[in-house]
Amino acid sequence: MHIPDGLISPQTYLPALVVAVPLWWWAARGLAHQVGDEALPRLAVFTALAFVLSSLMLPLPGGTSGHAIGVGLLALVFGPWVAFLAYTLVLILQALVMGAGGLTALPVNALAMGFIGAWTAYLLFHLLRPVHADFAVLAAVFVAVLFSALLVALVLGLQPLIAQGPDGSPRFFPFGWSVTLPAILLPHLFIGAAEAALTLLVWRHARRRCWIPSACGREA
Amino acid sequence: MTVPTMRRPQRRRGEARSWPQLRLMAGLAGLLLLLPGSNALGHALLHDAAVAEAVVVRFHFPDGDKPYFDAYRVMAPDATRPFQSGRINARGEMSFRPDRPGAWRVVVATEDGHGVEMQVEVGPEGVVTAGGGDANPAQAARLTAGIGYLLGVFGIIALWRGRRARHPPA
Repeated sequence: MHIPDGLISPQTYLPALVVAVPLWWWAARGLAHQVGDEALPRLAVFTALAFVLSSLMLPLPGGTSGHAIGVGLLALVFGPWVAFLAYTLVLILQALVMGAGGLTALPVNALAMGFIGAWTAYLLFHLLRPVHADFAVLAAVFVAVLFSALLVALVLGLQPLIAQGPDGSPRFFPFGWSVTLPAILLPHLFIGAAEAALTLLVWRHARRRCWIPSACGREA
Repeated sequence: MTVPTMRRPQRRRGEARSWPQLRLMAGLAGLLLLLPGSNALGHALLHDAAVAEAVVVRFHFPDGDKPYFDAYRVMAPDATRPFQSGRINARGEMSFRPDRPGAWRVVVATEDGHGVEMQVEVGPEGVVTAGGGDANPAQAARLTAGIGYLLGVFGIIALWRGRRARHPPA
Protein backbone atom coordinates (compact mmCIF):
# COMPACT_ATOMS: atom_id res chain seq x y z
CA MET A 1 0.00 0.00 0.00
CA HIS A 2 3.01 2.28 0.11
CA ILE A 3 2.68 5.12 -2.34
CA PRO A 4 5.92 5.31 -4.32
CA ASP A 5 7.73 8.43 -5.46
CA GLY A 6 6.46 9.94 -8.68
CA LEU A 7 2.79 9.07 -8.23
CA ILE A 8 1.70 11.97 -6.06
CA SER A 9 2.02 15.66 -6.73
CA PRO A 10 3.90 18.30 -4.72
CA GLN A 11 0.47 19.81 -3.98
CA THR A 12 -0.10 16.65 -1.96
CA TYR A 13 3.20 15.74 -0.34
CA LEU A 14 4.29 19.25 0.64
CA PRO A 15 1.20 19.97 2.76
CA ALA A 16 1.52 16.44 4.15
CA LEU A 17 5.09 17.23 5.14
CA VAL A 18 3.92 20.40 6.89
CA VAL A 19 1.44 18.34 8.89
CA ALA A 20 3.79 15.42 9.55
CA VAL A 21 6.87 17.30 10.82
CA PRO A 22 5.25 18.70 13.99
CA LEU A 23 3.64 15.34 14.66
CA TRP A 24 7.04 13.60 14.38
CA TRP A 25 8.53 16.21 16.67
CA TRP A 26 5.75 15.74 19.22
CA ALA A 27 6.05 11.96 19.08
CA ALA A 28 9.84 12.07 19.48
CA ARG A 29 9.50 14.43 22.41
CA GLY A 30 7.43 11.96 24.38
CA LEU A 31 9.38 8.84 23.38
CA ALA A 32 11.72 8.90 26.38
CA HIS A 33 8.79 8.98 28.82
CA GLN A 34 6.69 6.39 27.03
CA VAL A 35 9.38 3.81 26.35
CA GLY A 36 11.69 2.97 29.22
CA ASP A 37 15.07 1.30 28.96
CA GLU A 38 13.51 -2.09 29.57
CA ALA A 39 10.93 -1.67 26.82
CA LEU A 40 13.33 -0.30 24.21
CA PRO A 41 14.64 -3.69 22.96
CA ARG A 42 11.03 -4.87 22.81
CA LEU A 43 10.09 -1.86 20.72
CA ALA A 44 13.00 -2.70 18.43
CA VAL A 45 11.72 -6.24 17.94
CA PHE A 46 8.12 -5.13 17.37
CA THR A 47 9.27 -2.51 14.88
CA ALA A 48 11.30 -5.16 13.07
CA LEU A 49 8.18 -7.34 13.01
CA ALA A 50 6.19 -4.48 11.46
CA PHE A 51 8.98 -4.06 8.91
CA VAL A 52 8.81 -7.72 7.96
CA LEU A 53 5.00 -7.78 7.87
CA SER A 54 4.84 -4.77 5.59
CA SER A 55 7.58 -6.08 3.31
CA LEU A 56 6.27 -9.55 2.55
CA MET A 57 3.82 -9.75 -0.32
CA LEU A 58 0.90 -12.11 0.20
CA PRO A 59 -1.01 -13.61 -2.73
CA LEU A 60 -4.67 -12.57 -2.66
CA PRO A 61 -7.80 -13.88 -4.35
CA GLY A 62 -8.16 -12.41 -7.81
CA GLY A 63 -4.53 -12.82 -8.80
CA THR A 64 -3.26 -9.75 -7.02
CA SER A 65 -1.03 -9.48 -3.97
CA GLY A 66 -0.65 -7.20 -0.98
CA HIS A 67 1.10 -6.83 2.31
CA ALA A 68 0.12 -6.22 5.92
CA ILE A 69 0.81 -2.89 7.63
CA GLY A 70 1.81 -3.88 11.15
CA VAL A 71 1.17 -0.55 12.82
CA GLY A 72 -1.87 -1.78 14.75
CA LEU A 73 0.22 -4.09 16.91
CA LEU A 74 2.69 -1.30 17.67
CA ALA A 75 -0.17 1.01 18.64
CA LEU A 76 -1.83 -1.53 20.94
CA VAL A 77 1.39 -2.41 22.75
CA PHE A 78 3.26 0.91 22.84
CA GLY A 79 0.62 3.56 22.19
CA PRO A 80 -0.16 5.60 19.06
CA TRP A 81 2.63 8.18 19.29
CA VAL A 82 5.37 5.62 19.66
CA ALA A 83 3.76 3.53 16.92
CA PHE A 84 3.69 6.54 14.60
CA LEU A 85 7.37 7.24 15.15
CA ALA A 86 8.44 3.59 14.88
CA TYR A 87 6.41 3.11 11.73
CA THR A 88 7.97 6.18 10.16
CA LEU A 89 11.33 4.49 10.70
CA VAL A 90 9.92 1.38 9.00
CA LEU A 91 8.79 3.47 6.03
CA ILE A 92 12.18 5.19 5.72
CA LEU A 93 13.99 1.87 5.66
CA GLN A 94 11.54 0.40 3.19
CA ALA A 95 12.11 3.33 0.87
CA LEU A 96 15.90 3.17 1.17
CA VAL A 97 16.47 -0.56 1.41
CA MET A 98 13.48 -2.28 -0.14
CA GLY A 99 12.58 0.23 -2.84
CA ALA A 100 8.99 0.34 -1.56
CA GLY A 101 7.40 3.72 -1.02
CA GLY A 102 9.67 6.73 -1.34
CA LEU A 103 11.07 9.75 0.40
CA THR A 104 8.80 12.36 -1.21
CA ALA A 105 5.83 10.11 -0.47
CA LEU A 106 7.02 9.49 3.10
CA PRO A 107 4.83 12.13 4.79
CA VAL A 108 1.68 10.85 3.07
CA ASN A 109 2.50 7.21 3.83
CA ALA A 110 3.45 8.05 7.41
CA LEU A 111 0.22 9.99 7.99
CA ALA A 112 -2.02 7.43 6.29
CA MET A 113 -0.56 4.29 7.80
CA GLY A 114 1.55 5.42 10.76
CA PHE A 115 -0.68 8.12 12.21
CA ILE A 116 -4.23 7.35 11.13
CA GLY A 117 -3.64 3.61 11.34
CA ALA A 118 -2.15 3.80 14.82
CA TRP A 119 -4.72 6.19 16.26
CA THR A 120 -7.65 4.31 14.73
CA ALA A 121 -6.43 1.04 16.20
CA TYR A 122 -5.70 2.59 19.58
CA LEU A 123 -8.96 4.49 19.97
CA LEU A 124 -11.19 1.73 18.67
CA PHE A 125 -9.48 -0.82 20.88
CA HIS A 126 -10.08 1.27 24.00
CA LEU A 127 -13.65 1.95 22.90
CA LEU A 128 -14.49 -1.73 22.38
CA ARG A 129 -12.38 -3.21 25.12
CA PRO A 130 -15.18 -3.16 27.73
CA VAL A 131 -17.23 -5.36 25.40
CA HIS A 132 -14.58 -8.00 24.79
CA ALA A 133 -10.82 -7.57 24.67
CA ASP A 134 -10.11 -10.07 21.88
CA PHE A 135 -12.93 -8.72 19.75
CA ALA A 136 -11.64 -5.21 20.38
CA VAL A 137 -8.20 -6.17 19.04
CA LEU A 138 -9.66 -7.81 15.94
CA ALA A 139 -12.04 -4.95 15.17
CA ALA A 140 -9.49 -2.24 15.92
CA VAL A 141 -6.80 -3.65 13.63
CA PHE A 142 -9.23 -4.55 10.86
CA VAL A 143 -10.78 -1.08 10.79
CA ALA A 144 -7.35 0.57 11.11
CA VAL A 145 -6.12 -1.26 8.01
CA LEU A 146 -9.24 -0.26 6.09
CA PHE A 147 -9.00 3.37 7.22
CA SER A 148 -5.38 3.57 6.11
CA ALA A 149 -6.25 1.96 2.79
CA LEU A 150 -9.16 4.36 2.33
CA LEU A 151 -6.92 7.35 2.90
CA VAL A 152 -4.32 6.08 0.44
CA ALA A 153 -7.05 5.43 -2.15
CA LEU A 154 -8.46 8.93 -1.67
CA VAL A 155 -5.03 10.56 -1.98
CA LEU A 156 -4.18 8.61 -5.13
CA GLY A 157 -7.59 9.17 -6.72
CA LEU A 158 -7.27 12.89 -6.05
CA GLN A 159 -4.15 13.24 -8.20
CA PRO A 160 -5.81 13.38 -11.65
CA LEU A 161 -8.00 16.21 -10.34
CA ILE A 162 -5.30 18.43 -8.87
CA ALA A 163 -2.24 17.80 -11.06
CA GLN A 164 -2.73 17.97 -14.80
CA GLY A 165 -0.52 18.74 -17.75
CA PRO A 166 -1.17 21.53 -20.25
CA ASP A 167 -3.40 19.23 -22.27
CA GLY A 168 -5.41 18.17 -19.24
CA SER A 169 -3.79 14.76 -18.91
CA PRO A 170 -2.84 13.62 -15.39
CA ARG A 171 0.77 14.42 -14.54
CA PHE A 172 1.12 11.92 -11.72
CA PHE A 173 -1.21 9.08 -10.75
CA PRO A 174 -3.66 8.65 -13.64
CA PHE A 175 -6.62 6.82 -12.06
CA GLY A 176 -9.54 8.43 -10.28
CA TRP A 177 -11.52 7.33 -7.24
CA SER A 178 -13.74 5.01 -9.25
CA VAL A 179 -10.63 2.89 -9.83
CA THR A 180 -8.56 3.43 -6.69
CA LEU A 181 -11.27 2.84 -4.11
CA PRO A 182 -12.22 -0.70 -5.20
CA ALA A 183 -8.68 -1.57 -6.31
CA ILE A 184 -7.21 -0.73 -2.91
CA LEU A 185 -10.05 -1.33 -0.47
CA LEU A 186 -11.19 -4.76 -1.65
CA PRO A 187 -7.80 -6.49 -1.27
CA HIS A 188 -7.40 -4.86 2.11
CA LEU A 189 -10.51 -6.61 3.37
CA PHE A 190 -8.47 -9.82 3.24
CA ILE A 191 -5.30 -8.14 4.45
CA GLY A 192 -7.12 -6.51 7.36
CA ALA A 193 -8.67 -9.81 8.44
CA ALA A 194 -5.32 -11.63 8.31
CA GLU A 195 -3.48 -8.85 10.09
CA ALA A 196 -6.15 -8.66 12.78
CA ALA A 197 -5.82 -12.39 13.47
CA LEU A 198 -2.02 -12.21 13.62
CA THR A 199 -2.12 -9.14 15.84
CA LEU A 200 -4.46 -10.90 18.26
CA LEU A 201 -1.99 -13.78 18.63
CA VAL A 202 0.94 -11.49 19.36
CA TRP A 203 -1.12 -9.16 21.54
CA ARG A 204 -2.25 -12.09 23.72
CA HIS A 205 1.38 -13.12 24.12
CA ALA A 206 2.35 -9.54 25.01
CA ARG A 207 -0.46 -9.34 27.55
CA ARG A 208 0.58 -12.60 29.21
CA ARG A 209 4.10 -11.29 29.53
CA CYS A 210 2.91 -8.00 30.96
CA TRP A 211 4.41 -6.04 28.09
CA ILE A 212 1.30 -3.88 27.89
CA PRO A 213 1.23 -1.74 31.03
CA SER A 214 -2.49 -0.96 30.97
CA ALA A 215 -3.54 -4.56 30.32
CA CYS A 216 -1.12 -5.85 32.94
CA GLY A 217 -2.38 -3.42 35.52
CA ARG A 218 -5.96 -4.35 34.86
CA GLU A 219 -5.48 -8.10 35.02
CA ALA A 220 -2.80 -8.29 37.68
CA MET B 1 -50.89 31.90 -75.54
CA THR B 2 -48.13 29.49 -75.05
CA VAL B 3 -44.52 30.44 -75.31
CA PRO B 4 -42.60 28.08 -77.43
CA THR B 5 -39.57 26.74 -75.59
CA MET B 6 -36.39 25.28 -76.90
CA ARG B 7 -36.19 21.76 -75.54
CA ARG B 8 -32.81 20.16 -75.25
CA PRO B 9 -32.79 17.05 -77.33
CA GLN B 10 -32.70 14.08 -74.94
CA ARG B 11 -30.03 11.56 -75.45
CA ARG B 12 -31.38 8.14 -75.87
CA ARG B 13 -29.92 5.23 -73.92
CA GLY B 14 -26.87 3.86 -75.60
CA GLU B 15 -26.24 7.02 -77.55
CA ALA B 16 -22.62 8.14 -77.48
CA ARG B 17 -21.57 11.16 -75.32
CA SER B 18 -20.39 14.22 -77.07
CA TRP B 19 -16.65 14.75 -77.59
CA PRO B 20 -16.23 17.66 -75.14
CA GLN B 21 -17.71 15.58 -72.29
CA LEU B 22 -15.51 12.65 -73.03
CA ARG B 23 -12.45 14.85 -73.15
CA LEU B 24 -13.31 16.38 -69.75
CA MET B 25 -13.77 12.98 -68.11
CA ALA B 26 -10.56 11.65 -69.58
CA GLY B 27 -8.72 14.73 -68.35
CA LEU B 28 -10.03 14.29 -64.77
CA ALA B 29 -9.07 10.62 -64.78
CA GLY B 30 -5.57 11.52 -65.95
CA LEU B 31 -5.28 14.17 -63.25
CA LEU B 32 -6.20 11.63 -60.56
CA LEU B 33 -3.54 9.28 -61.84
CA LEU B 34 -0.95 12.02 -61.73
CA LEU B 35 -1.67 12.98 -58.09
CA PRO B 36 0.87 11.75 -55.54
CA GLY B 37 -0.27 8.69 -53.60
CA SER B 38 -0.24 10.39 -50.21
CA ASN B 39 -2.74 12.97 -51.31
CA ALA B 40 -4.93 10.56 -53.12
CA LEU B 41 -5.08 8.39 -49.97
CA GLY B 42 -5.43 11.27 -47.52
CA HIS B 43 -7.29 9.28 -44.82
CA ALA B 44 -5.20 6.16 -44.92
CA LEU B 45 -2.75 5.48 -42.11
CA LEU B 46 0.31 4.32 -43.93
CA HIS B 47 2.95 2.35 -42.17
CA ASP B 48 6.17 0.52 -42.51
CA ALA B 49 7.98 -1.87 -40.22
CA ALA B 50 11.60 -1.46 -39.28
CA VAL B 51 14.02 -3.20 -36.98
CA ALA B 52 15.61 -0.53 -34.79
CA GLU B 53 17.33 -0.21 -31.46
CA ALA B 54 15.21 0.79 -28.49
CA VAL B 55 15.50 1.06 -24.74
CA VAL B 56 13.73 -1.92 -23.21
CA VAL B 57 12.67 -1.69 -19.58
CA ARG B 58 11.64 -4.82 -17.74
CA PHE B 59 9.49 -4.66 -14.63
CA HIS B 60 8.77 -7.15 -11.92
CA PHE B 61 7.60 -7.18 -8.34
CA PRO B 62 9.81 -8.57 -5.58
CA ASP B 63 7.85 -11.83 -5.56
CA GLY B 64 8.48 -12.36 -9.28
CA ASP B 65 5.05 -11.22 -10.45
CA LYS B 66 4.97 -8.62 -13.24
CA PRO B 67 2.80 -5.56 -13.82
CA TYR B 68 1.19 -6.94 -16.97
CA PHE B 69 -0.71 -4.32 -18.96
CA ASP B 70 -0.33 -1.63 -16.34
CA ALA B 71 -0.10 1.92 -17.61
CA TYR B 72 3.20 3.74 -18.08
CA ARG B 73 4.36 7.03 -19.48
CA VAL B 74 7.77 8.16 -20.72
CA MET B 75 8.89 11.70 -20.04
CA ALA B 76 11.68 13.16 -22.17
CA PRO B 77 14.35 15.31 -20.48
CA ASP B 78 12.88 18.64 -19.33
CA ALA B 79 9.52 17.87 -20.90
CA THR B 80 6.16 18.41 -19.29
CA ARG B 81 4.14 16.36 -21.75
CA PRO B 82 4.65 12.63 -22.07
CA PHE B 83 6.86 11.52 -24.94
CA GLN B 84 5.09 8.18 -24.95
CA SER B 85 2.39 6.45 -22.99
CA GLY B 86 0.91 3.01 -23.08
CA ARG B 87 0.64 -0.25 -21.28
CA ILE B 88 3.30 -2.75 -20.29
CA ASN B 89 3.24 -5.79 -22.54
CA ALA B 90 2.53 -9.43 -21.78
CA ARG B 91 6.20 -10.00 -20.91
CA GLY B 92 6.28 -7.26 -18.32
CA GLU B 93 8.31 -4.99 -20.61
CA MET B 94 8.00 -1.66 -22.36
CA SER B 95 10.31 -0.05 -24.89
CA PHE B 96 10.90 3.39 -26.30
CA ARG B 97 13.30 5.07 -28.68
CA PRO B 98 14.78 8.23 -27.16
CA ASP B 99 15.40 10.97 -29.69
CA ARG B 100 17.86 12.98 -27.62
CA PRO B 101 20.34 12.44 -24.80
CA GLY B 102 19.52 13.24 -21.20
CA ALA B 103 17.66 11.89 -18.23
CA TRP B 104 14.48 10.15 -19.38
CA ARG B 105 11.87 9.10 -16.88
CA VAL B 106 9.61 6.08 -17.06
CA VAL B 107 6.67 6.22 -14.66
CA VAL B 108 4.52 3.15 -14.05
CA ALA B 109 1.36 3.30 -11.98
CA THR B 110 -0.80 0.32 -11.13
CA GLU B 111 -4.45 0.80 -10.26
CA ASP B 112 -3.89 -0.23 -6.64
CA GLY B 113 -1.32 2.48 -6.06
CA HIS B 114 1.89 0.60 -6.66
CA GLY B 115 4.36 1.76 -9.22
CA VAL B 116 7.77 3.18 -9.84
CA GLU B 117 9.45 6.22 -11.30
CA MET B 118 12.73 5.21 -12.84
CA GLN B 119 15.33 7.27 -14.62
CA VAL B 120 17.14 6.20 -17.76
CA GLU B 121 20.26 8.15 -18.61
CA VAL B 122 20.71 8.26 -22.37
CA GLY B 123 24.10 9.26 -23.74
CA PRO B 124 24.83 11.24 -26.93
CA GLU B 125 24.98 8.09 -29.05
CA GLY B 126 21.66 6.87 -27.73
CA VAL B 127 23.34 4.44 -25.38
CA VAL B 128 21.83 3.88 -21.97
CA THR B 129 24.51 4.90 -19.51
CA ALA B 130 22.58 4.39 -16.29
CA GLY B 131 19.18 3.23 -15.20
CA GLY B 132 17.38 0.52 -13.48
CA GLY B 133 17.16 -0.20 -9.91
CA ASP B 134 16.91 -3.53 -8.68
CA ALA B 135 17.27 -7.18 -8.75
CA ASN B 136 20.38 -7.34 -6.64
CA PRO B 137 20.66 -7.81 -3.79
CA ALA B 138 17.83 -10.28 -3.52
CA GLN B 139 14.66 -9.61 -1.58
CA ALA B 140 15.65 -11.78 1.38
CA ALA B 141 19.02 -10.07 1.66
CA ARG B 142 17.41 -6.64 1.59
CA LEU B 143 14.88 -7.71 4.19
CA THR B 144 17.66 -8.95 6.43
CA ALA B 145 19.61 -5.77 5.89
CA GLY B 146 16.54 -3.71 6.79
CA ILE B 147 16.06 -5.61 10.04
CA GLY B 148 19.72 -5.12 10.78
CA TYR B 149 19.48 -1.38 10.23
CA LEU B 150 16.39 -1.18 12.43
CA LEU B 151 17.96 -3.05 15.31
CA GLY B 152 21.08 -0.97 14.84
CA VAL B 153 19.10 2.27 15.17
CA PHE B 154 17.51 1.07 18.40
CA GLY B 155 20.89 -0.14 19.64
CA ILE B 156 22.30 3.33 19.08
CA ILE B 157 19.35 4.84 20.97
CA ALA B 158 19.97 2.40 23.86
CA LEU B 159 23.67 3.24 23.93
CA TRP B 160 22.90 6.94 23.90
CA ARG B 161 20.43 6.51 26.74
CA GLY B 162 22.91 4.50 28.77
CA ARG B 163 25.63 7.05 28.25
CA ARG B 164 23.28 9.84 29.21
CA ALA B 165 22.27 7.98 32.38
CA ARG B 166 25.90 7.56 33.37
CA HIS B 167 26.83 11.11 32.48
CA PRO B 168 23.73 13.25 32.96
CA PRO B 169 23.91 16.68 31.36
CA ALA B 170 24.91 19.38 33.78
